[in-house]
Amino acid sequence: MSDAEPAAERHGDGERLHPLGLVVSFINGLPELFLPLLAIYWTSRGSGMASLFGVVGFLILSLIFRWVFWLIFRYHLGMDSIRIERGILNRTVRSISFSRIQNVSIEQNLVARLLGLCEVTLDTGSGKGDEAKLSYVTIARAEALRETIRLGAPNDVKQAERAMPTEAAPVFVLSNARLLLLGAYSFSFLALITLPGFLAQFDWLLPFDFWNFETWTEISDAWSERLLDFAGGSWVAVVALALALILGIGLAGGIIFTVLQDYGFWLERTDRGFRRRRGLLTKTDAAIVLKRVQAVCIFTGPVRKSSGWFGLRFISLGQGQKHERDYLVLPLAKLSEVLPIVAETGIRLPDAGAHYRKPVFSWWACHYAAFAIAATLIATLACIAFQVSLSATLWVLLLPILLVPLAWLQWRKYDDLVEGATLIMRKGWWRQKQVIAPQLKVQSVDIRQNPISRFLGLSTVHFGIAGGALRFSALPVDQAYALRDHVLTVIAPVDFSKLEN
Amino acid sequence: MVPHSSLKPIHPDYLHVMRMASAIWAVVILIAAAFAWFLLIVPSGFIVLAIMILLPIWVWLVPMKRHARLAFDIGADRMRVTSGYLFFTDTVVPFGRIQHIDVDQGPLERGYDLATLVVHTAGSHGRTIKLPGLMHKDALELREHIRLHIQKASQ
Repeated sequence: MSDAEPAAERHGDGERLHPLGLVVSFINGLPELFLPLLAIYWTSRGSGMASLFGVVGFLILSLIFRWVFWLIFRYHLGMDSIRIERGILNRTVRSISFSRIQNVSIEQNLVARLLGLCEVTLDTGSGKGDEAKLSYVTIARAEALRETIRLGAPNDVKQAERAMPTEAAPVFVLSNARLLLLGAYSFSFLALITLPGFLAQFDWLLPFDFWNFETWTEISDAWSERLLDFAGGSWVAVVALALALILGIGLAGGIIFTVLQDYGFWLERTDRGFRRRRGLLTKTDAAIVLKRVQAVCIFTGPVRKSSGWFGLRFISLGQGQKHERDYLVLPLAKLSEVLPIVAETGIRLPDAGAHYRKPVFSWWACHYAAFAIAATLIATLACIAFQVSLSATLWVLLLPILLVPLAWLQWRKYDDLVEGATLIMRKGWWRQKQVIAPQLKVQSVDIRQNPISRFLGLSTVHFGIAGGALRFSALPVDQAYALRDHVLTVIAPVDFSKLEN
Repeated sequence: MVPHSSLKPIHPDYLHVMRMASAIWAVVILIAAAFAWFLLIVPSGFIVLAIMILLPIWVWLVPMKRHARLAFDIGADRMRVTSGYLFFTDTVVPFGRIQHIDVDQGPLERGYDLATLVVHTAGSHGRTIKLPGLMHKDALELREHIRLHIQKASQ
C-alpha cells in the first residue's frame, strides 16, 4: 500500500544507489541483450568492422540508459516512511510507510556478491508485483535499512549502519551432508521435462532441424541401432540403459537445483521472528515475522518419510523471495527439530490420537475417472489425427488404468480435522503435507461444487487465508454448511486490525 | 440442497449484460472459426454446427442458468455471494476481513446503470469476491454500509 506524500516533499534530496550497482545490473542484463546483439551481428554480416562497431555501440548505449536511470533514481528515508523517485518521462514518486512494509528481503546474485552489493526488496503484501526495489546498495546499508524499517522509528540509517547487531546463534543449519540428501530426495521430474526445452533454446547450435519430426525419428532409429549394438543386441539392456539415463538426469537435476537454492541454509531467531539465509550463487536473506504467519505446513515424501525426514513452511502475509510462495523454514529436518519451530508460532498441533474425518473414496474415483476419460479422448483424437497405428491407439486406451492406483493413493492419504480453534488437513502421496491453520486467520469461506461433486452430493470447503488457502474435500453439503457456520461464528466478530498482523 | 433462506437475486437486467458479453465472445470465436475455414483447415460443416450450438447454448441458455445462480445476502456482520452454473461457489466474507472495496462499472453495465461490487481480502494471494448486477446507487450504498462497519470495528 503506497500513498501519496504530502506537498512537503522536496525533489532531488535523498540518496542514489551504489554506483557499482551499474556494473552488476549491466552484467546481469547481458543475457537479455543476447538476441538484439545477435540481430546486429547478422544484419552487418558484410564486414567484420561494422558488426564490431554495432555490437560495441549497442552495449555502450545500454550502459548509458542504465546510467541515466541510476542518475534519476533516488531513495529518501523519512521519519516514518521511505520515498522512492524514479522514471525519466513518467516521473514516479512512491512513498511507503514503514508500518505498511511486511518484509525487507535482501538478495545477492553472484556478480553483486563479488562487489559486496545486494538488492533490497520492500514487500508491502499488496501482491501487485510492483513492490519497491533498491538495486544495488552495500550490504551494510541494506542491513541498516532493514533495521531502520524494523524499528519503524526516525532512526539515522548511517548510525544504524555502524551499530549493527551481532550474529545470533542459529536455530537450524543445513549441513552439507543433509544438503546432498535433500538433493537426492528432490528427484527432478522438472529436469527431465525442461531438458528438451533447454536444448530447444540452443537449436541453432544443433546440426539438424529441431522442430522437424522426421529428423527425430531418423536420429532415434540411428541411436536405437547403435544402442542395440552397444548392449549386445538385447532390448532389455537398452531399456535398462534408458532407465538409468532418466534416473541419472532426474537425480543430477534435483541435486543441482537444491544445492543452488539451499546451500548454506541458516535459520536464526530474531526478536520478532526468524531470519533465513541461503543460496550458493545467489544468496538471499529473508526476515520472517511470526505475527504475520497465518498457517504452517509440514511436508514430506514417501521415501524421505521412511527415514524420518520432514520439512516446514510458513504460510504468511508477504512473500519470502521472488517466486517463493510460502516461506521455507526447514528444508530437511527430523520431527524433533520441526516441533519446537512450529511451537514458536503459537499454532498448536493436534493430539496424536485425534480422530480425523475420512471422506468417501467415490470422490477421488469419480474425479480421476473424469480426468481419465478426458485424457483418453484427447489422446485418441490425437492418434487419429496423426494416423497412429491401431495397436498403438489401443495402448493409449490403457492409460486410464494407470490412474486407478493413483486415485486410491490420494484418497488413502487425505483426511481433515477441526480441533478446537484450528483447522488441519493432510493430503498427498508423492508430496505429503499437513497444513495447520488457526480458524481466526481465515479470511473468507467458500463452498464449491463442480458437476462431479454435485452428482455425488458432496462439496469442497475452501478457507481463504492471507497468503494461501486450505481446502477440505468431499464434505457432504449439509456438513459443509455446518462447518462454515461454525468457523464464521469464530471469525466474524474479530476485525482484521485486531489480528496482530 | 443450498440453504436459500435469505438469498436475494440480482437485478434481472444483468441477464442482458451477460448475454451481450457471451455474444461478443461468440462473435470472436466465430471469426476465428471462419478464419480456420478460410485456411481450409476445418470443413464448413463445422462452422454451421458451431453456430447452431454456440448461439442457443452459449448465448441464451448458459447466461440464464448463471444469472439464476447469482444471488447475495448482506447480513449484520458478513456478506454472502453465490455464483456459477457448472462450477458453483457460495462465498461468505465477514465485513471485518475486507481490506478494500471497489465499485466497478463496465461499458455494458453502464447502459443499464448497473455496477459490480468487488471486495478484496488480505494477502498477496487474497481472494477477490465479485457481486455483479447491482443498481449503481445500491452498490454505492452497500459500499458505504460495509465501510462504516469496518471503520467501527477497527477502532
